[in-house]
Amino acid sequence: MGDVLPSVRAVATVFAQTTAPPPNVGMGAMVMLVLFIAGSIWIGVTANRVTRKGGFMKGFFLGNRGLGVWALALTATIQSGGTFMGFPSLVYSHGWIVALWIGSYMVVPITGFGILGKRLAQLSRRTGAITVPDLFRNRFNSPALGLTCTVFILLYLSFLMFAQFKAGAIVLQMAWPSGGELTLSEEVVSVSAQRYHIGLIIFTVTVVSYTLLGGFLAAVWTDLFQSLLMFVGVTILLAASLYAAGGLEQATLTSLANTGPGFVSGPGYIANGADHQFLPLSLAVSFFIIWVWGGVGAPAGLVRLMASQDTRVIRKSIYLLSLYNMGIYLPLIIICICGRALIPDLDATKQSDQIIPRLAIMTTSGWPGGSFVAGLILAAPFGAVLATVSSYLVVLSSAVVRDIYQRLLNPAADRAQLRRAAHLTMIAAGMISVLVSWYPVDYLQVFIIFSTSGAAATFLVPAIMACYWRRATETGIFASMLSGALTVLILYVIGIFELLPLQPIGAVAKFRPYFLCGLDPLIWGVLASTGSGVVVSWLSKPPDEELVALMFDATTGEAVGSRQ
Amino acid sequence: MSGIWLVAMTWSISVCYLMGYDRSATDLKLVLGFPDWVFWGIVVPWITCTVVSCVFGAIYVRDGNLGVDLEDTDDLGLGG
Repeated sequence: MGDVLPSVRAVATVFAQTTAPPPNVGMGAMVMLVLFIAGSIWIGVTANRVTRKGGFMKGFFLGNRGLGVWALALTATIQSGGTFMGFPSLVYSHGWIVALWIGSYMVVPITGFGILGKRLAQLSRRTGAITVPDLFRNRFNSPALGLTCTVFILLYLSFLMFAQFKAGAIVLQMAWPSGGELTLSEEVVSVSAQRYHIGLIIFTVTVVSYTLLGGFLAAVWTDLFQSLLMFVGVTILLAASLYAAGGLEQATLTSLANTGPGFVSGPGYIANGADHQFLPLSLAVSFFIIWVWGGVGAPAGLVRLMASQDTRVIRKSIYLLSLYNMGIYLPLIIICICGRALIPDLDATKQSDQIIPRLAIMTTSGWPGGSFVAGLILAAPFGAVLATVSSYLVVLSSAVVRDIYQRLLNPAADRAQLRRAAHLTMIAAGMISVLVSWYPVDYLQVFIIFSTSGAAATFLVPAIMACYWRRATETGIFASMLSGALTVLILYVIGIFELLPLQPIGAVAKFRPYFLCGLDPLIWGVLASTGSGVVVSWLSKPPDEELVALMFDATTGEAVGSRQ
Repeated sequence: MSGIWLVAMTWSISVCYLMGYDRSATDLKLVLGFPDWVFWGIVVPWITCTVVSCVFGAIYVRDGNLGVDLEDTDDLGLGG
């Protein structure tokens, strides 16, 4: 583990190792971010008032099932720090091929909402489920299954969350004003590290505070707020970047001149001519599967579908999200191509995560009030990270409070005790995330992909089986979850510890999986999950007919959960 | 809906692979600033899928009864 946790001095050196000097920023960027933080806290306070109506659990963890079109559509995606740090970093490093890497987002809304949306919302009402573990627990009348879900959610969401904390800290680090009374140190090497750590603490306090206050609604409303802000920010940055680069054609040609032929062709550009392929055909197929089916099976997405008001909301969300995705991802790709043309010398393995903040500051530096505009643009990725972490905190906390505290430790817990447990869980999660993120990890996106793959392989097939297959059994679902999770885990362990020779494909990072037959571990995880789920269900005792009828044929609202 | 995904995947990967992989920079052709394989393999299908998603969602995803929500599901039946 020695080279995964470098010394403090090495961390500071990491920040200093760049041929691109840190940009000068005025106070405006920080002012905008502070306003955003204040706005998020206000949302948390407002959401707190709303969630006090009715039961604590349904209000705090599911917003009383009141999500409308805008809230569902623009918050059910997996946009996150990965969208604004990891993904742009990949475009900057590898070129136009990353458009294919992310391309399946073109069908994420219709596939995810269309396949699972209505049935999941219906099933969660029939079972009285508030959380994803609740859903499985009540669908199959199995406390053990619920607890297993909880453990998996804690595992995957923790990894996802740690990656986001780094992203949030970087944005604050970049926005820190140069010079003046806020100058931290005269020693250049330590300044960046100090700013990163301060940014990390500010970010953590902000996100834990407003989520702790307002729960699920706070997470959703800030997610909606930042989604709208993100759209505005991306649009401004698109115009600014294209203008600065001299148009898209010039940007493509300049970035090609700054790199090499791989930047405009597949399988993508690799710095220093290394014998490595970013996106061979096998991985292109893998990622076209991952982003769609990974999103469908993600716990944070599943719980939003459970919280939707009605099917009209689900249907309209398909339109809205389709338009929104197109308006975010294609512009981001263009922005990063411009970025490679305008800022060609970021170290591909250490600084490329910063391309969006750097571009925002650079392209607006000559504008009147430019730092405020930069702050608005920076608020977009900052908001995305805040919203993502907030969502994960809610899902994590709900799993711990509902399935561990309430069901196992203190079944007679009153409202005050449940609220205290939720708060303590969130605070603990925040503190652990700070500790883990104190030494920033390389390639944010790789952590996100591991957790996305793992969660999808664990939950996707079981969710589809639970919704649509009457013959699915508790044992079959167990087998499906475990085999999916283990498959992904094994392939990542093989890769990280290099137990087998690693193929020179995919993102260049220390933390990478073994690509069996060149395919991403998710593919094998889903196959294993499907095979074992179906076979074990058939081999095990059929489920209780009355329970199945309630889930598939019932027309009343009687909940299985209330029978326990 | 899975069919839409499958068609999109087949088209995008085929076009990008056949037109864009291992291509020399001297062969580069740009369409509105995009490399031609990106334009035909990603941009055009993305716009198409967005339109198809809207139409398909309007026709296929019918309104339906989600069932009655419970008044209070703090209930393990035991308190809260």
